[in-house]
Amino acid sequence: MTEYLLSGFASAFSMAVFPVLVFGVLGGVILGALPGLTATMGVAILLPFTFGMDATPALVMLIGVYIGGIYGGSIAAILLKTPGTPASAATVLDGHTMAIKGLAAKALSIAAVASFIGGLISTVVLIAVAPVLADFALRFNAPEYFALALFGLTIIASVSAKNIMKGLLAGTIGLLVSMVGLDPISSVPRFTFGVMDLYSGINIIPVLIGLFAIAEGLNQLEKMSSDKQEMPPKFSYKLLSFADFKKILPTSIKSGLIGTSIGSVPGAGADISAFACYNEAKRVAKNPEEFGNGSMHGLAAAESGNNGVTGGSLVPLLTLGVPGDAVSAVLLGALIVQGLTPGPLLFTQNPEIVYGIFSSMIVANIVMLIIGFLGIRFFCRIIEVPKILMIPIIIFLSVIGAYAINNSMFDVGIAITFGLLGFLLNKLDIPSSPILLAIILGPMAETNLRKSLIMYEGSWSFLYDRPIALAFILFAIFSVYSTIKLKKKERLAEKNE
Amino acid sequence: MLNRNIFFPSLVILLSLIFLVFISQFPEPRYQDAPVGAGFFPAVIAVLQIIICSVLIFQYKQKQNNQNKPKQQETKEIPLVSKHSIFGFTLLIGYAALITLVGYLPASLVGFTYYLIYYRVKKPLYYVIAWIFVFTIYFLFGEVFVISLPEGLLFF
Repeated sequence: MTEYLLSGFASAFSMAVFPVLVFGVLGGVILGALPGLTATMGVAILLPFTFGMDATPALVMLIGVYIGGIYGGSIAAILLKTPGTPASAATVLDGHTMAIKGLAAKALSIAAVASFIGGLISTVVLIAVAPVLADFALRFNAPEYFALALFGLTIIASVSAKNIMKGLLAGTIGLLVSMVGLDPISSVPRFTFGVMDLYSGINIIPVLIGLFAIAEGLNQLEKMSSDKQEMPPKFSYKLLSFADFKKILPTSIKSGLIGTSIGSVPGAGADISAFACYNEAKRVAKNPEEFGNGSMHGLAAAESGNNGVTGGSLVPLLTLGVPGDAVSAVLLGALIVQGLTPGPLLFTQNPEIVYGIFSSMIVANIVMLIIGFLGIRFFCRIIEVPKILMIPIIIFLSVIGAYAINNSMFDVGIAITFGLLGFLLNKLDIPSSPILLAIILGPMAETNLRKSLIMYEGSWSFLYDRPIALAFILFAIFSVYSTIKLKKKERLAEKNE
Repeated sequence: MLNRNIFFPSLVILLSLIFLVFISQFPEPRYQDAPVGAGFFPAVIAVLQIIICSVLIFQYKQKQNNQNKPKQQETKEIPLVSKHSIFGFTLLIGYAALITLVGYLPASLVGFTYYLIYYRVKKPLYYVIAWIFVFTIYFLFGEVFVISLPEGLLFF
């Protein structure tokens, strides 16, 4: 294995591979930073460019886009409160607050370092325990997926700001939105009202653009003072210090490991992982009240968690030929185009390709860290753009981003609708993040609950019959209990003040 | 004046009741082994919404009673929408409509320029930046990433 890894490193630094790797990571960072363009879209866009390439540079470039794209999403999330990708929705919670406080450079450097740590851990774990993790993921069936989704939904309580009930209300709105379209089991149209575009459900990207970007644009427009040419907020270019690094390291390592585990479960992507890691970091934090108010740990957890998925999602792809998420589904296509068959045989028949991918992932993470740090001064300039120019840029980019997903004006309509909803909910102190979380997890929960009920002929015993499902349910109960306890503590502390 | 803390949860309760009517019209599962149908999950959520909103109204009423807040003070809430947010929303809808009709490039140039004129921006540099931004996005999407932008119905 070591021999293959070393030859993989030699290949990654060769003139045929290294430039495409850098291009891939840089392209991924740019694409990820543009609202509406996801890492999946980035990999899909660049896929046709790899048709004429050899297998190793082709796959390395796409993996570079994947890693860069997940990190790139955090740039717009931190600076513009507009997550470039669903994976960076959790980054907004603390990253943007840090930027508002004048700590944009620090937030970006934390995001780069945490992403690097998460990505690196994920790759190391991928190399070391890929077959074992794949075996664990194989044991997942509908009840386990339902329990996992249920556990994910409990995160709503912790991202609910002050009032859990308001967060739950937002969560139920998201769940109802996720029900629009054809029912996943019996294909009954639900809440479609005869509109053909609604039959395939509501796409998450326009919702995300609306809730975060458009709503934020409208909020900013309202806040804009009568002095239209007001000066942009001052901030320091101070990056994270060694002391900060030491502080975030344990959170980043833990989140990287959680992210890798979540990524290795087919169907659970970087968005779920980021929220799960954020929730876990908040649960164990000494000062949980800092979360949502610019906590370094919150930001590091979300970023390390979402990049942790990059290696994890390749576990089922490379070992079983089952894509873990949308990006690995596109990568599966890339492997097939190159004449390779993902699965256990890939390790024995083409070990140089597999270990070439592993080595390149480590190099891609290093390149991402370098680009992240070199780009900070440039990225921070975004914040210096006067608000009077920034607001229409956000609004126009949001409309274009929503359109670009499916070349559909219907998606633009969805983005505008959710933009207005997000804006109004903000006025009512109802958080928007639970809506997004519920839209992501709702279909997973419903489909697997109903499949489980069919499997168990109507009995609910799967909730306690299956150890993994039971473990997730217990985690969910514990998560809700600890959050309620935490909120009570916060309220008491506020009253005492 | 309607109190938003009462009005919004009441609206959600009303909508949930309407949803429950819709849900009751979903077809029942046709095959024997399906214990729950398409309406099960949405119905649970709608009922949950009614409960949550009722609790929210109760919480608000209780808070009001505890604080013994005078009614006059209550009406001094910040308005839900302001002149600026209405303009922003109109601009958004107008831009979406214009982009459908004339395509990305003319719509963005007109939209951005109109926005700057509306806010009486006098710095020519801002107009130049706005146009450069519009052309950069056009180039980036159209030429680099080969993602089609709206071309407009009028130019087909």
